[in-house]
Amino acid sequence: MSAAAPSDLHELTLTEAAALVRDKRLSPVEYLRALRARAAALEPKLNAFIRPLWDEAEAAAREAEAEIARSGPRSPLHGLPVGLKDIIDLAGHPTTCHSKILLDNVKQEDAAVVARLRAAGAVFPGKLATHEFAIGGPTFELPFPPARNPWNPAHHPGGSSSGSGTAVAARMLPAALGTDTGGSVRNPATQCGIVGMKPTYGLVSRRGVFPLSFTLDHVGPMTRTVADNALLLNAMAGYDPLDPGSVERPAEDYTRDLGGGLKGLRIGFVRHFHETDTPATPEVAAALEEAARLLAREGAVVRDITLPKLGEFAAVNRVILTSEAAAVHEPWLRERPGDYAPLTLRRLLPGMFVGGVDYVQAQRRRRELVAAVEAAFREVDLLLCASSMDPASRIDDEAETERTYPRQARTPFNVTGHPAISVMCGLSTGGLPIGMQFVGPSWSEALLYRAAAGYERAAGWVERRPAL
Amino acid sequence: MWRQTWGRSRPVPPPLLLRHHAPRFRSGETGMSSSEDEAREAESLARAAGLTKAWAEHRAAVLEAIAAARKFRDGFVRPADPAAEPMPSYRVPGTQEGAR
Repeated sequence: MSAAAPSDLHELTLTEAAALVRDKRLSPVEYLRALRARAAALEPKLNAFIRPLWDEAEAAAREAEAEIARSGPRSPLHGLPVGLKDIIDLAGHPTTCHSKILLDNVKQEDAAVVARLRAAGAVFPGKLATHEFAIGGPTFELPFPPARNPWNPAHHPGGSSSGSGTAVAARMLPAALGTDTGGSVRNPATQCGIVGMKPTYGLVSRRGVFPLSFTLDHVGPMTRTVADNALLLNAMAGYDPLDPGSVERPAEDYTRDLGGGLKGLRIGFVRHFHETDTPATPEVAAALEEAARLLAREGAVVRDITLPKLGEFAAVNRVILTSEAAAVHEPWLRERPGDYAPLTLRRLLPGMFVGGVDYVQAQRRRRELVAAVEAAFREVDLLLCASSMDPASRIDDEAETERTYPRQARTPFNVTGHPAISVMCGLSTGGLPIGMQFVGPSWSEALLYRAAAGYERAAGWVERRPAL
Repeated sequence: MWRQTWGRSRPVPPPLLLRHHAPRFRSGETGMSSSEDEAREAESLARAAGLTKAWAEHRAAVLEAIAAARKFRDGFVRPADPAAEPMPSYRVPGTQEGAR
């Protein structure tokens, strides 16, 4: 028996669905069917899914339902669906990376993070659109069409975890996984008005996730609410001895401080990122200022703080990312350059011309940038800063997309590895979401969720939804 | 002496690849135009990188990539301390505390 009417089940958040399943008031199968119907209605204009797997997911949901009836849920995710960006391995299916090059790349094992979710009882209704190899997009020159923004399908949804952002914002799925090397969880979260967390480097295993840049890649949860995000991270996080970057730490409950509120939190506002380093459009700047005022009204102590310039973080990120990506792609760049989309080729090729000295210099400067951000955390508990400096451009406006895509403040925290969460903080005059970031010290995800949940409750943007 | 010459204010030296692979002639000596020089230089770089096929089939993308790589390297200052370690540090296998 369901608490919500069947036609409204897609509106349930992950947390709400988990509670209803636990209380045996929601059938995981019924829930999945409602989402499938939603996807069937919306997919023709949104293109979030590369490979729908609804039948397989429904069989898993049926098994979950039987197990829950017998012995209760294994975890809050038992029987609930999570979408996977198609650079993340799912046993028995191809990981195409949205590319012609890997169309037949069938994987025999789950990625480590998928195995953790499967053990928690989650089901997987599909592989989701991305930019080609998580770098080349949006573009129409690929084997699958690009995902579109649910708030206005004429616009891009951000990337590279574009299908994940689209599917969650459009309520086709309550949750999805993305990956973030230069901001690719937080960008679609920002542009689609949802919540995206890039956890601390080493918290979530990258094993079984196609690499873009070994020292910058992160896997992160994407959901509609902060509470959902914390719930999903609970199941994703954990040490993996087979991921060389994984760090062994005690397990945490990331939902534990969601109700802690903002009072007393010392927040450093990195205003120069969007005021002088990469000036934001006026409506984005205004939304950030209003968010800072709201945080102060809610009892946070907000003060300006200065970090190294945004452009320097971006340059270090580019040198490292393109070099490491070129190492991954070298054989194909040499032998099959024509099998990439032109945009992907343009973004990957520079790494073939970055010298070894420059790569090492970037990694040396990286340590200094990390130290600068660490120093800030001796003065404040959290940072507040912009995410994208512009609302999403039209997906067919290649020049505007090329201009606005790098105008962002997410790469600094790929460079440093600190956790960062994007939450919605406004709507543009064109009706597109605006987002901002909270950033914390390493391993402070619970604190970030506390701040983000406090802001979410006070601001009310979470109630806004795309008109679909 | 190191610290006097390897400071933050020191301009970034010319691209290493170009120092190694730049043609050893000048336009005036060969009679070639500078654009021909540049094309030869770019082709040399592409071949050195193993991108013969890309050079033949996607020349504009290769030229753009060479220009981008030159630009990237000017975007950040070099550490002043010659002993500054890169990140992540190398750790011998078996020292499990992650990459950082």
